Amino acid sequence: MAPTVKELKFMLTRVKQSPLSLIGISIVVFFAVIAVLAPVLAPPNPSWSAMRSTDPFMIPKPRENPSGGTFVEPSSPVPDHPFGTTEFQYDLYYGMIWGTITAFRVGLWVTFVSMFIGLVVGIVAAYYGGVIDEILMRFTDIILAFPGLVLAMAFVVAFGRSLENVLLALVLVGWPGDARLIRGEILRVKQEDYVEAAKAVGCSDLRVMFRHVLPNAIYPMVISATLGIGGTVLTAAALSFIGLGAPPGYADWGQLISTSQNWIGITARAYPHTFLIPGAFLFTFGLGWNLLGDAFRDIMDPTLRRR
Amino acid sequence: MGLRAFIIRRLLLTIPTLLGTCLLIFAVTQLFDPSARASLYITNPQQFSAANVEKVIQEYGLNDPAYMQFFRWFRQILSGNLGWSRTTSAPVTKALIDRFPATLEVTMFCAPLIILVSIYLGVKSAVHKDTPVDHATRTLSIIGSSLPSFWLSLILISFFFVGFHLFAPGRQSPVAQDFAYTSPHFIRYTGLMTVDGLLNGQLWITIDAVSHLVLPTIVLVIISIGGMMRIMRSSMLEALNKGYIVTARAKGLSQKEVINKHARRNALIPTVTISGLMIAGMLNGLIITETVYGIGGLGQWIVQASTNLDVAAVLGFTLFSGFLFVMANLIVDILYAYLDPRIRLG
Repeated sequence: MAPTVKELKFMLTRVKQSPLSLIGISIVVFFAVIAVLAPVLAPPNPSWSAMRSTDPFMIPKPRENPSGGTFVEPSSPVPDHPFGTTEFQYDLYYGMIWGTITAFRVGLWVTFVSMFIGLVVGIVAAYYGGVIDEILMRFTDIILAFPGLVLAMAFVVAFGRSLENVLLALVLVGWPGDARLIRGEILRVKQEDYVEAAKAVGCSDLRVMFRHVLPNAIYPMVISATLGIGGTVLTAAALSFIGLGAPPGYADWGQLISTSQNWIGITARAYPHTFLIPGAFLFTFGLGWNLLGDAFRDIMDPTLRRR
Repeated sequence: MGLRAFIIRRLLLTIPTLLGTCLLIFAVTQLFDPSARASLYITNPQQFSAANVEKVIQEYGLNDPAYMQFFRWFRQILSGNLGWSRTTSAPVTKALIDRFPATLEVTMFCAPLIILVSIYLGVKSAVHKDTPVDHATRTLSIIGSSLPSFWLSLILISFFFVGFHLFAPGRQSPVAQDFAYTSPHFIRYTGLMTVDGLLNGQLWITIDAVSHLVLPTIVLVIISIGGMMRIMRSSMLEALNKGYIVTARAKGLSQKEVINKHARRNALIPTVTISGLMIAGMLNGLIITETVYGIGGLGQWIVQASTNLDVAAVLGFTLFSGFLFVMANLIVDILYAYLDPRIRLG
């Protein structure tokens, strides 16, 4: 195990040397802390009249019109509601805090599930080769022949509008890229001398695959997964923004930005906080993952390191 | 293998991909009830009444086994009928054709800018590797690819338009639109307002259209340059390490000549290959940007259609965009083979 420890230490020093990766890690850790502490930072408050739902992801409306109707117009930040409220009085601070959990759930779930499917398909294709490989790769070609967002939109329309179906659609659109990446890497590593050597000393096919080929082939996938999390969250937010994802009132940053569209100051009074705040969270979250992914790529790229 | 043989082989390879895209879209149609699917075959609005939908289901056998339905559906597609769009109350094909120019116009302005800016910044970044210039450009590209397009669009509108009454959203100002669509002296030759304005000698129409394109173009350029810039940077770095660069330097060529004539040309090749991907990425951004700015092109239309669950429009557009994307990749591959003889001869 000594070489692995050495490798890890080397990576850690590289991380420490790169300021961008440190910023990236700090941002992601910051959001992780918010997500974990959400019940403490923004406790679901049953005394708010509109907290009808027991689902903590449904944003409460702290102020409701006594005459029965709702206040449509957003309100500016006040000490009790530090980020103000959006259209229909949803509390923005609450939405931001619980929306962080949604963002992690979207990014991690979609990335891991599509990575898993991609891994299985990629290994099967590269291991068996021949007709199976050909069929599987033509299938990935077909999905990759569409612009991702467009195909995802069609899937969501077919499955029905909901955040869960957005996640499903993003997995369906996302796995072919992972499958092709891991297949290509496995085929490359299979040519290496050490794989030949392992076969020559009589290792079983499975041992060669999982002990020698896969550990060396998986790095590019880890990088692309890290880079993908930011993009996935942005795409899911875009789908929520156009009204295909999370329902109104759900703690989702994209959905919250969508409710601000009437309040940028064209047809009614401007309430810039309604889009500036959720957008800033979304942007910073994406930036954190992208910085991390970019740093990973540099650190793990054998052609760029140790120079 | 010569270039012609390569092109023929590549064209033949396109056929199964296009068939595959049709099969996938057909598989998606099977997720809907027959009554929702009927809109894919409908050619006029009267057919939407309950009794008539039943007739369409019978006529096209929408309860038959899938493979039988596929051939009927495929024949429809080949004859150019993509169904009836409820959102627009028009045939999907007509709606696609009507809205295409607005989208094409944005693309016409964005694509060249994206390519030029990312090549310029990529080369700059590689030549000044590990200097502040390099760090700044790379950070900017990461920031660009992390910006949500809809958020950036809203910010720019609220800054420029709400703050300074500059660059109004929409495709044209009401006066210009009125003139372009009702004046007998204005002929819409291409449907592209910037071009038609010039062709009709109405410069103000062109200026008006360009001023509406400024913000969407800025948004799309900022969010799209990241990926291409990174490829350009790394292929430029690779090219700069090649032996022919040493030779060129040894011959006493200036730094400018070495970079522009020897390194950049070779570094462009990998960038060309991913420009197909860039088109897809831009289309994704375009859908959202068009919606926020109300440009009235394909993107805005498809967003409306998908929130109204307009099945025929969504699937028709998906098929159309898949087709466009396959064609774009075909052109890119041919261009690639033309630029790099190793591809067609290897």
